[in-house]
Amino acid sequence: MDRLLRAWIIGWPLLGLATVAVAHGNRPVLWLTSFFTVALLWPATLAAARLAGAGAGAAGGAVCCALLATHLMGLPPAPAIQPPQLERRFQGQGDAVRHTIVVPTQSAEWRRLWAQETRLEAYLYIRVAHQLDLADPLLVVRVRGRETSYLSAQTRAAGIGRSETERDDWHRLRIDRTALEEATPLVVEVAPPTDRALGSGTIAVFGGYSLRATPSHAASAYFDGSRWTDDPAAIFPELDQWQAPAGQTLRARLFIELRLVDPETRRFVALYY
Amino acid sequence: MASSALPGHTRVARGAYGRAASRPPFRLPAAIAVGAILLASVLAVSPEAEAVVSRGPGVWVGLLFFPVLVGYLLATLAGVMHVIWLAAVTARPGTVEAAARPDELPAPPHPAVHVVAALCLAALVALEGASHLGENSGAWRTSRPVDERDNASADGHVFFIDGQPVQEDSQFFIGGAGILTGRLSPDLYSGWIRSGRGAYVFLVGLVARVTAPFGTTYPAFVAVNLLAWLGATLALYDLGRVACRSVWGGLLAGALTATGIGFTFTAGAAVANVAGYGAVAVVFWLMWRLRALLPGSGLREDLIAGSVAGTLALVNSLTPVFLLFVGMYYVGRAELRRILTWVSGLAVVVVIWGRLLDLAARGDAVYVTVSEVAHVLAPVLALAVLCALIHRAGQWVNRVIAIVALASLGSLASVSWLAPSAMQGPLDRLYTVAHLPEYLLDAGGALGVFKVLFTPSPEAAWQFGANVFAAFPAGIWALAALGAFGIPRRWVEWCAAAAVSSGLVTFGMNALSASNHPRLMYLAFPGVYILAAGGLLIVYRLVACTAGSLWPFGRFMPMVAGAVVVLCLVIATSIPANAGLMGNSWFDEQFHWLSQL
Repeated sequence: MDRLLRAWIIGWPLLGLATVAVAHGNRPVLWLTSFFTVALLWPATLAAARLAGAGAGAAGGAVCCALLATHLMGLPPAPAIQPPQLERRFQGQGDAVRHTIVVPTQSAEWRRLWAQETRLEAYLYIRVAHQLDLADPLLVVRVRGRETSYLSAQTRAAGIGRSETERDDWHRLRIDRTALEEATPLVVEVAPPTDRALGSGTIAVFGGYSLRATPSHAASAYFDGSRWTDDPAAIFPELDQWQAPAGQTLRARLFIELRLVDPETRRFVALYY
Repeated sequence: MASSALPGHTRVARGAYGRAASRPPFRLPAAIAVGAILLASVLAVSPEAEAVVSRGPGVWVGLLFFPVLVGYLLATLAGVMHVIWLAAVTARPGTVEAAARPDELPAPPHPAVHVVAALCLAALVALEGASHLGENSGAWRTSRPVDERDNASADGHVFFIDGQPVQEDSQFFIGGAGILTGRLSPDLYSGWIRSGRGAYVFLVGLVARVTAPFGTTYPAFVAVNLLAWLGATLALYDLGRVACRSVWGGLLAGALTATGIGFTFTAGAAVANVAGYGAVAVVFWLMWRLRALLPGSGLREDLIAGSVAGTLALVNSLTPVFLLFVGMYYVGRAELRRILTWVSGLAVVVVIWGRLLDLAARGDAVYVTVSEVAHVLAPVLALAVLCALIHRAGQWVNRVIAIVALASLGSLASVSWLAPSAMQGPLDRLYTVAHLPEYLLDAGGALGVFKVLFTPSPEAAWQFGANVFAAFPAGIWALAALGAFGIPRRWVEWCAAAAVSSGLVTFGMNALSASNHPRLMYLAFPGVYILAAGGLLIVYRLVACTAGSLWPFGRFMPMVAGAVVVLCLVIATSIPANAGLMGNSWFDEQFHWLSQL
């Protein structure tokens, strides 16, 4: 029995390699898997046999063989990856996007934040890209239907990147506490200016997978000049290149966020979207 | 008064490890002395000193770490050169420690004790692991925007997989796993998908089909991370048990690992950090368990330990850590020819991996030429010849190795001194062959690191100390310092070698990339946690002695002392590791970015 176990410990990589060869055929990954079988798994079972006896080594070899045999089941599932970044380009003056934030004004956390001695500053953050031939994006921002401001060089908060044709920045607008604590949700609408003609696709608002949006329903929506839609695939045309988590639909949201800043440390104390 | 000895603890008389006249010098006092002189001289002459030391009293402690690191390196280099010189001149086998004997183990407990200990530690790892996955991962949570300069969205520097947010570096490992499962082409192996991390993504691919019912790829990453964490915990249990000569010491070292911030921080991310920590602990443990390089073992053990180290180095580019550890701890304790065998075993694995990657990137697996196969397998043949030569021959081989080593080191020093630019090419080549981060090749290279290492500025010294404290909060260091008085000197030196090798890698990486790497400093955890476990045992004894004399009911003394030890453990590791779950991410932020220092 002991001889049999020792023969298995010495010889199991042959079976493992044969399994891998059948599973991978002519694919180059055959070399890589074979390498780790011989250089990692085999010495590990030899070490187990040396330290804990032939039984342990043989069992280790059997486990490794079984794991390698799973390669015969074909490729493992492809990773389901959700989009970290998407974009909605404005096609014309009639376009608009909308994002709804349910500010948790009744929560204990909200009361704790505003009970601090330092008065917090609240900002709406919007991530926008525009072509370099436009000095400013000049997007119009309306909060709860009231026109608030234009996005311009003065509203830039943090740069993301710059290519030969386009720049990408976070813009922010100050918003006061009373506006935040109104009874209705914070509805932020962003649209191209109506008094300037813009080329199609020259300005974009970014978005991405929606992990934890504050509204229970779809938070973001897009207006194509005739009707609003909250279908993520209509908001972000490239969404169909990504996969939804198993058993879920693919959620997406615009990068329009409410951020609270401590005025002394300039650190964010809360972020909502 | 009740005894202050722990159950299962065997007292060994001081001096049991002998005081052979030829033992290697005790490096820590020398390192501290050299470090203090170095620090004082830099502070005295550097214009940056005033600005740095004005940051507060805590900076002083942090400042000391770097000169001690350099002092330890100098003391070790002196010891290594002395040993090699002796081997070259007097034909000694390259060992100066007469007492390279096995450790004196505590009385073996009932096997059930080990089973219970392993189950308890596994439960602790499972609990900590499960509570730090997905949105509770410190690596992702601390990637969310902190201040107005940060340009991430509210979800941070994120990559979504299976609906879970993971830190954005995970995308490179998911790409690597795609290569090792055959989904992507191996020619994508470059840049951020680092070849030095191939073993990690291989292991992920190995379990991916088994974990498939729980998701796509994310559960496979989590499974490998948790298994590596468990492996590290059990390895530290065994090492701690021997170093502290107490099952309780092992249990404490295991508990420190099971609640360590390095593990909790990245267990939920699809990155190689946790597996790298596990690899370091397993390699160190395996070398000790196999008695690799030491009397009582042979060629087989050296080769198994070397090849496992070489392959596990490919978990997270760990080759420098393993080589430095062996250089610091085993030179002087092991024959030079056996060290050469171990290093060759490691190097062959690493070199073959690079050649196989080139072969795989070419395309078809089947249609390879004889010369290509010969090119890949040539290192194996060279290793076989080397092993046959040095193990068939007598002790004189050690002398040849010593002479060659001295000649090589002399040439290297001369060229570095006279024409440093000539070293750049070979060093860069060595860097690539070792599968270290390719993206840093243009960042100044190894020569720049050496220059900064021996002429440190106060700013660099302070930054290194900050890395040290971010990886191991002050409570751990206090316990580790105490523990140096409670475990045998041989183990103190083992722990110091483990910690210093990681410290040097951290400093090198910081210097090359101009950013902080507490996560690399955490590779020192085997040494630091074993010392801290020794410190916790001393705390137990101190409290037991004190409480035994003051407490009216002596029989409660063990419980009181045990409660104090648990409290120390919670303060030292559990609070830093779990504070993020309770809304305080300060420790996690330090570990990630050092943003608050």
